[in-house]
Amino acid sequence: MQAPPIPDNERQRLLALNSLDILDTPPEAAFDRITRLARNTLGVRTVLISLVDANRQWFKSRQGLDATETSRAISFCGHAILGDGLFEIPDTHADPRFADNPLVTGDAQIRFYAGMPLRSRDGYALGTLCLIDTAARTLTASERELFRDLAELAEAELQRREQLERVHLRAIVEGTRAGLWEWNVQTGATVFNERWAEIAGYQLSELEPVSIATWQTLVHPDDLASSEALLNAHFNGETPIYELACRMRHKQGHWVWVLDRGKVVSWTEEGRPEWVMGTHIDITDLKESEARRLQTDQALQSRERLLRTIIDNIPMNIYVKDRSGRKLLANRSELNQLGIEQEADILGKHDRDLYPEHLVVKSDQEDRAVLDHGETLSLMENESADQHGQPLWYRVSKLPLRNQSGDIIGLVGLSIDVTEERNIKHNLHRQLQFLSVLNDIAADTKNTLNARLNRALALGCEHLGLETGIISHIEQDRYTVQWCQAPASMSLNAGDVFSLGDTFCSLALQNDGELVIHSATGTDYQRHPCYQLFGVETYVGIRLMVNSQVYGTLNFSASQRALNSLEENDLAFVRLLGHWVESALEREHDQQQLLQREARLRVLFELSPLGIALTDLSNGQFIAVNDALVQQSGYDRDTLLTMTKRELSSGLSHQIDQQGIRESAEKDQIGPVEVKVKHRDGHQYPANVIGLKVSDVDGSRLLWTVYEDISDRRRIERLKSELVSTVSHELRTPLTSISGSLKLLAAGHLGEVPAAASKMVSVALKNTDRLILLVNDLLDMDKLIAGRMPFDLQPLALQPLLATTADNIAGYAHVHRVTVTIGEVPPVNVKVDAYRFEQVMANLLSNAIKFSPEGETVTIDARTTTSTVTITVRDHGPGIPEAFRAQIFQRFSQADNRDNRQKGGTGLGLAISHSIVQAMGGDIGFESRPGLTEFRVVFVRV
Amino acid sequence: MPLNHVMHVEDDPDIRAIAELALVTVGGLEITQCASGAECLNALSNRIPDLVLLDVMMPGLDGPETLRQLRMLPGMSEVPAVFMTAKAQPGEISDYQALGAIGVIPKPFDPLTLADQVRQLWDQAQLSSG
Repeated sequence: MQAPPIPDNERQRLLALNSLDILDTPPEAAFDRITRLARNTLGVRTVLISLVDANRQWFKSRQGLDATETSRAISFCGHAILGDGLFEIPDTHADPRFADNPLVTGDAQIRFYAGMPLRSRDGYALGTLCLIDTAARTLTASERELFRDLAELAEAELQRREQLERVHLRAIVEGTRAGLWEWNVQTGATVFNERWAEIAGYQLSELEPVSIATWQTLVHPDDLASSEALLNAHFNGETPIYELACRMRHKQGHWVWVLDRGKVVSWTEEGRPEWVMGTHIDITDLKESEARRLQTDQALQSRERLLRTIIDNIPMNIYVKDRSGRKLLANRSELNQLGIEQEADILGKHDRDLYPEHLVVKSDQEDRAVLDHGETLSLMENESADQHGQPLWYRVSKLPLRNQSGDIIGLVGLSIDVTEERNIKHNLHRQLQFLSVLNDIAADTKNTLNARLNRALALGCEHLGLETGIISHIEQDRYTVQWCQAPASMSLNAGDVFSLGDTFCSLALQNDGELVIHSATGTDYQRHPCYQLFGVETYVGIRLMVNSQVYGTLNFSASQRALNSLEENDLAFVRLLGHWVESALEREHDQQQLLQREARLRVLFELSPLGIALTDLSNGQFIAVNDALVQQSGYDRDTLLTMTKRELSSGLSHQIDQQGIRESAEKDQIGPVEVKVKHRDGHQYPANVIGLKVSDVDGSRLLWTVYEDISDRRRIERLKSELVSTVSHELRTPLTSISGSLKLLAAGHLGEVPAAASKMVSVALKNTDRLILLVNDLLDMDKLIAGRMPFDLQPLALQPLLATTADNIAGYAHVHRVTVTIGEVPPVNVKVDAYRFEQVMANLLSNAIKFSPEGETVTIDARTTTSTVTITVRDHGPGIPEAFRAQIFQRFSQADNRDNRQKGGTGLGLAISHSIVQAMGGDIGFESRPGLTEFRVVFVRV
Repeated sequence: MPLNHVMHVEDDPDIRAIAELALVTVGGLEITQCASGAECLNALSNRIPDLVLLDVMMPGLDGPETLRQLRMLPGMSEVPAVFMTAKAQPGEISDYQALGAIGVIPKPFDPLTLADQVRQLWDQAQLSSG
């Protein structure tokens, strides 16, 4: 079998067929007349007007057949429309194309077929008029002619439909308020009706002559493109009609919305669209209301979203119930509190499903008040509990929810969790309470310590709601009640002593110094002696530290459980109270110590042999004076206390006073300075004054002054000076006689002295000389110490000074069989007192000679730096013993006391030399080892 | 002019004796000795010495006071005076020089050189005045 091939112009053919809108329409008499006529005149069993659709052939009119359509693939007409004229199959059985066709072999038993194509006005073969019979036959020439005529009739009928389409449409459209347009796509010819123009605000005549350009200028440019796209889609058969909502510019300038619909109503022979007809409907109102509705919808939606967001994020529980108490809405906060994830899970539920019964009863009553009486409930605090059983407090408002007509349709519930606020308020109240208690105690300065501590305990008991308060003193295992407040029935008194281990305080001391027992019953504390012996049920205690040592405890207790359970605040209260007790005890302790110390100091003050006064620095007035000052100055105490420091010590002392005060501005210590104190009897006496500035507790500046009467010391010094002077005179006078006599004797001026006597004379003379030296040295020493030795410092050439020194000592050296040589001495000047310089050199040289072995040499050298001159005296004696070196320049020091006798010397020489050199601005030192000792004197070079 | 006649004023008789030996016997000088300032002032009315050697510490008129008074005597205003003292040591002569002495000889003095010391001071004074 051969299926009918698809014609080349199939697409256009189908468009043309479709444009007739004829497929699947009811039978029409015009077509049925033709088929009936054909059947009767040509004597065939079946006559059909068959229209070949894409996949089927559909029969617009049929005679002798029940089926309305068959598949195109097995159709004979599919073949028939391919040719120009009659398509005739005299005997299907003989034709290989159809012999095995199911219509041939099946029930239809088609043996004969003849078909004439029916064409559209554009020439497309839309279908056929066909004849079918079950017996083979051949049409005669006249029969064929008749058949052709009939086919032309059918074709004309089809083409008439094409024409009718536009006319009908126009008629239909005119009946509506639609604008009508017709456009010949190929020629550009355009027809608009009056309404078309009217929609855009024109009279048709104003627009004429019209063309497609008329439309193109009026349409909104944005819509033109989509209009063209949609038209092309329709031309290509992709859409059955062209439809577009677009804007046209109204004559008055605004835009009007137009629903533009159109359809190709005829096609060219090449299959191109020819006539398109369409309508314009003014949909401006529709568009506007649509836009308004859209806006309103969006606004509503966004408002609802906003509300929902607020509702869900507000820190407040919000719910809505209907009249029967079912939840219609619950916000996030409400859901969270109920522990419910999804709002959906709660909607429609009643409070009974969510809360315990007793809460529901109360809540229901409230709800009824709102729902039935329209009351607004607010500022109520409801109690409920969280998962941990802690009380939760809410501020709840319930408002009726009404519809537009004012009927109550439900209620809105708002509740805020005010638990924290309440807790804060509560704590604040407690804190204020105990702060005021503490303040009362601390501010109490009128009463004694005992009274204040007892009051503190009483206030503490009252505040904590406990019956017993104790301040204990603990030493090792001994617990002494120092102060207490207790019910009379307990007969607890200050001074009572317990074993520490029997008290809860022993635990408090171990436990970081704090212990709180809310209730001992049912806990391990029940086995503690404190519970066993004294039945202490509730206890709060802290360790007391006084001066960094454990003093004892502050504790409050009761034999029954406290009315209010002890809170953290209460421990803080006890701590603060403890701090106050500690500081009160510390103050007391310090005061005791202070009193003791003051008593001791007062003894010192009163018994001191030195005069002591306390002065107000601001005015110099005496505040306190001791006996010694009273006696020293001759005034009585009361008179002294009316005087100022300046009145007591005036004149020269005033100046020193000023200096003292000036110093005191920077330093707290003044002096020591020497002042003249005016005695009551008018004479002045010298006193050494030392001052120490102190600040009194009230911040005033005070001055402690110690007056040491030094008139005795002065007298003694004077006496000593006179004594030295007298002694030296009184000693020297006889020494002069003795020495003179002996020298005259020894020199033989008084005649020949026998040899034995001569020896004794020289012994006497030698010791007289030593006595003279001693007297001289003592006098020098005295002057040096008193600073009264005069120095006549002159720049002098060193060389001659040393030469004189060496000459003067030569005799002494000769006696000891020691040579004195002057080594290298640069020609420099030194600033010295010549006599004292010689004294120093003589001392050093005589020492060197004294300790040199016989036959040795003592050498004098000098060397210089840019600023100094160093003179050295070197000997080869045994050296200075190690033990003696440190004290070599001290008075009356000699390495070996026996030296006095053996070597001569007073033991003052080096001490005097040392003092003299220093007084002349120089220095003296030495270096010594066995066999070589070197003394060095350094002076400033001139 | 060589030194010839020295008036020695000294309250201590032992020292006077030694000084006499030292100045006369050892030194070859002529001396007049007085036991006090007052005696000295009296003696001066008889004879004007070349030089006065005065002890400083004496009962009654002491050395400096004696010097002050003798300066007021006729012919005595220019006579050189030398102090002898047990109170001072050599080198501390400025105080005494201020009183108008040409020098100080400390006690104890060396009787063997006393005359030489006095002559030396005399010579110096002669030089500076001459």
